[in-house]
Amino acid sequence: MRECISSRIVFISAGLLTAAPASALACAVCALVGTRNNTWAYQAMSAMLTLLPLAMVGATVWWLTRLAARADTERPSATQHVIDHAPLGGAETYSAVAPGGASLALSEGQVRRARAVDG
Amino acid sequence: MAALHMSTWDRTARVVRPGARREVVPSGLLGMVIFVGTEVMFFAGLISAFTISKAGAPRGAWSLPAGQVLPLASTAVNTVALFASGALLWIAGRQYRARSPAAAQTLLAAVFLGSLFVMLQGREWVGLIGRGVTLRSSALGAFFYVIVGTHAAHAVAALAGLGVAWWRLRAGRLSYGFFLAAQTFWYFVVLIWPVIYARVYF
Repeated sequence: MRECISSRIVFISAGLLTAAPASALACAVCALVGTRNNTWAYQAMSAMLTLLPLAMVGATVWWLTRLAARADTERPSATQHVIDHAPLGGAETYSAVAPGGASLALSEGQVRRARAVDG
Repeated sequence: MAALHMSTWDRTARVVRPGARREVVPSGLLGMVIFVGTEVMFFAGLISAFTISKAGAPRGAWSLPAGQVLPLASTAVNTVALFASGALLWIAGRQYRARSPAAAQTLLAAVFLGSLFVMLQGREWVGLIGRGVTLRSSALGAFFYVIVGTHAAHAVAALAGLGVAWWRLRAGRLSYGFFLAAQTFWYFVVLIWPVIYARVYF
């Protein structure tokens, strides 16, 4: 009940401030808000200080993602290697073949553990 | 079964051949990019305070004492030197990647032009202080010295980094990551300056 009242107060306050934005203007450090020019400067600088870090973080993430994607295409990952599975002499033998041709035998324990995970 | 094969391979790859960590971007460059991001916000804060204070100042109150004006023309010349320095550094980067022996000379020329910018700015400061424009003389004077002085401090630090890069390049010990980091810092100094010039001087 108390939480409901608190959230109502927050919503009503936000609604009032949206309807009358001048009440929300409060320069905490210079107390200069009041003139038309200063109101515009205050709003423009608030927008700049809000959007600039978001833009920089977004640009950095995009840049790193692009670099990682480029690195992926230039060098295939281990999971892209070929798996060879062939029953030999009645028993199942598992081996993995790397792109260079080197084969890697899998132990029975490794296969058992994989089966246990895969069901 | 295909799923079994892939998961078997994945686990085997981890057990037998641990996947090598790959560096998609040099650590020095990434650190410098993050640092430059914080510095951009630092300058954004200064410019924001300047803009709001200027907009709220009473008519005629936003000026230097005794009718002094900021040196627009000579600072424009300094700005050209700074941009030329940035362009030379870009060329030096291309030469460095191409393993050209001319890279060290181009880098040195970039450092020289950057140092010229700082020295000419210092000369202007001496002239302004001599004419009574100080930190305490007016709000504009205070903002001018704080913002331009902070930029000059960054320029000196970036020039020191470029100097170290040049020294290591000559000695054949310059790593690509260090060069990129120094280059990024100097580009920041070059590119933030037009914003400061347009905002503070006009």
